[in-house]
Amino acid sequence: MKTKVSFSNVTKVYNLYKRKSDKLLGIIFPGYKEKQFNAIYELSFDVREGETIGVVGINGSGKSTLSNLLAQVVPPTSGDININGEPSLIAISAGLNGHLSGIENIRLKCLMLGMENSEVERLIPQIIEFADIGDFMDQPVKNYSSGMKARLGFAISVHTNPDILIVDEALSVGDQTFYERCIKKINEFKQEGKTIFFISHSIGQIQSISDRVMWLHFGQLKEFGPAETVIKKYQGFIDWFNNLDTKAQKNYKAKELKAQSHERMNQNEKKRKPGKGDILAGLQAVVILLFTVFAAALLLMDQPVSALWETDDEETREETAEENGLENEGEADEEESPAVEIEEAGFITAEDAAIYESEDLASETEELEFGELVFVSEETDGIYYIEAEENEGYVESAHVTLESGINESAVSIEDLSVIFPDVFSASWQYHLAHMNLEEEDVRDTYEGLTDEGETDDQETYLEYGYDEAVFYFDDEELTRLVISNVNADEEDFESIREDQAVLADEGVIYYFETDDYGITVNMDDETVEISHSRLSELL
Amino acid sequence: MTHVYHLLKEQFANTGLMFRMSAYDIKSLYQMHYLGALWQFLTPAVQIFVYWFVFGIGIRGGAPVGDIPFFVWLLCGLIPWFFIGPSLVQGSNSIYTKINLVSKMKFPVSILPAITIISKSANFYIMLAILTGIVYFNGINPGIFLLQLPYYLLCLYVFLFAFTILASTISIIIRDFQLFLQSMMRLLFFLTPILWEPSRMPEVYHQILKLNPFYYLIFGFRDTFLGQGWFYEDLTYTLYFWALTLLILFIGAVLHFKFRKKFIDFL
Repeated sequence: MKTKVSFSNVTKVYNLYKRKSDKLLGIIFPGYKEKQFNAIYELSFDVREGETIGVVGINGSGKSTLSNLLAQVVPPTSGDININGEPSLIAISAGLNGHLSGIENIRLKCLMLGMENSEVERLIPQIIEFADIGDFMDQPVKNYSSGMKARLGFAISVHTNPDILIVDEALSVGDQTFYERCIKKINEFKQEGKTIFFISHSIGQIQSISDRVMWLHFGQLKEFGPAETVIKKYQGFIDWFNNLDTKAQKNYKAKELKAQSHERMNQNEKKRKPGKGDILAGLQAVVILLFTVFAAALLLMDQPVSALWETDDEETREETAEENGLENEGEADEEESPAVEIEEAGFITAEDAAIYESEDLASETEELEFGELVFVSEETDGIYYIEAEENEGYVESAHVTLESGINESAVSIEDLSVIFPDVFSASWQYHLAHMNLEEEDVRDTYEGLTDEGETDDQETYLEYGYDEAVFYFDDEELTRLVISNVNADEEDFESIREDQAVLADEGVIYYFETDDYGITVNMDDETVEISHSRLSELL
Repeated sequence: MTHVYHLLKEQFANTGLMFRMSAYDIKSLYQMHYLGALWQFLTPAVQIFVYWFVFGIGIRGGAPVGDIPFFVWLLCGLIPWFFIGPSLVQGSNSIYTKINLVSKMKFPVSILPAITIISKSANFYIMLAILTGIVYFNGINPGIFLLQLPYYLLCLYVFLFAFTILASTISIIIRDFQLFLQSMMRLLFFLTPILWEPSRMPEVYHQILKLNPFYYLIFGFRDTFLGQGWFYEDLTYTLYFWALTLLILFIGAVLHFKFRKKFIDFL
């Protein structure tokens, strides 16, 4: 007959930590151990196919640890366990989820054992039949009595076709009828050649089922042999122990327990050396870590990789650039589109022009407004490098007009008057006469004030809504006049702006200069701004 | 790397089991509530409404993001997050909650986090379908950009898997980790630009925020659904994301195999 289960020098040590933090220290430093308790010590035995083994022993002798070791729930601290087959552990409420109903527990356990759905459905009626707990099948397991839990647990385990059945006290809570049924099932298993471990305090049960009996005593194997003889000896020990007076019983237990936790202390001082695998894993971890940090650094360093990709279209160029280092790459760029020195003043002629940090117009830093003065130092491929009052960077050249680009325009305000709103154009000369007045004078002479106030730039303004006109003042000095609701799509204006307009930004803003005024027509806002400050003067 | 290989092998060897368990999880999840599966949509719907009201109407005054209505923009970030958040937190706790059950039988413990992720996925896909509808309904056509959806889903799953493997192992050894993770996720929800737009931030802060891998995922989904960009356009960031994911997966796999035998001892 084949050997089914074989233990050789199996020891299971539990570390007894006083505090949570000690447990953590024990994990990090395997040498750190406060106190140890050997639940099982140097246990060796072999069990063959088809045997039923009874396990006896007083409380704390290691029976449950043995059942956990057999079921491979806990690993041994040292020694070897060889199990040929699928063990299945039945303990009271073992592996049952209290919140789920009985039927759900059956389904879940079967699924977790890797069964197909069809197989689960086939087994469910059989399990319900065997457990025989009636309507409680649909109730949460937490409401079960311990007998019901044991019945359900046993029913599930025996129907999942285990090779090795470990029954840990499970039958002691069941009644006689259930016990009989279990014994029948166990005998069935025996005939099928399955191995059964039967752990119980009931000497009667052990005797009726077991072929051989194992007596565990404070973690060690005291006797292992034919049922009759071992049980007799065990019974003898129990009788002897019970006849001792209380103090002697206490002393005996204390002595044994002390031996159990002391003598093994030294046993477990084996130093664990880091294996080759550990070093390799550590090395790989460091490599990946460095790689991650490198990638993070790239991310924080203004994305040089993507910049490389975008500036150099040809792969060959990129390769040579990489080979020859960064300097050459810069030269390569220059060959392709040489920077032209300009060194000239100019101003922003877009409604809002963005300044970028890099030449490929990535990462915008700030927006400049129309009319802002800039100094253009060089041009590369339609991109200006400019210095503004508070900023410098790259700007699309279309957004900037250079000083040399301004020509004295031949347009007069009279020409432009065609687009003025009717209420304004009727007496535009009168209105413009106010352009030389101070705030107080405007207030005095001009009638029909509808609103006044202060702008964000600390200009004061006076609004004459009936005339569609707003006067702006800086420190009492009149700076500009804005006329709204202009008819910017007037036909006459079209010819003017095509021929005479000095500056244009995508057809939205037109700028004209007369001898006295700078005039900005904004097609979107439908406004005309007549200002004392002329851009050409500013330069 | 052998650990990672074994870990992945174990996942693929047990895909059937994984899906059956997930299906079971989904079925049993809302069984004891009267409204049942409806809660899977009621809860996020209420949250979406509140976030939209507070951040969209209250703080932004209803202003759109670029030319995308804030509501759509918010949904593109919030819906992936509704999947990421619970998957991470519950996936990290998955081994702990089931260890008593699985330890009594031979069960590949490493598939527990994946089971959690899969059972959360069903809900996620329904929400993604709804999101696609909402996006089209708002006149936004992501067109060909939708093709990169599988890529970002892959990113999402690999990252979630890697992280939950690592976190589920750590949270068994150190229980405090679970609490730490929960509060971290609550923080990250606000630190990831889901409810707010990062473009007004100084560039340096922006780049630092990008170190958060959820940023990559959330913006990936936004780019996909709003048709705003391809994943290869920011190669540095893609590189960083995958390097970080690999690092987490590697450490997770090593720790998992080192401690899995002892899991029950730690409880």
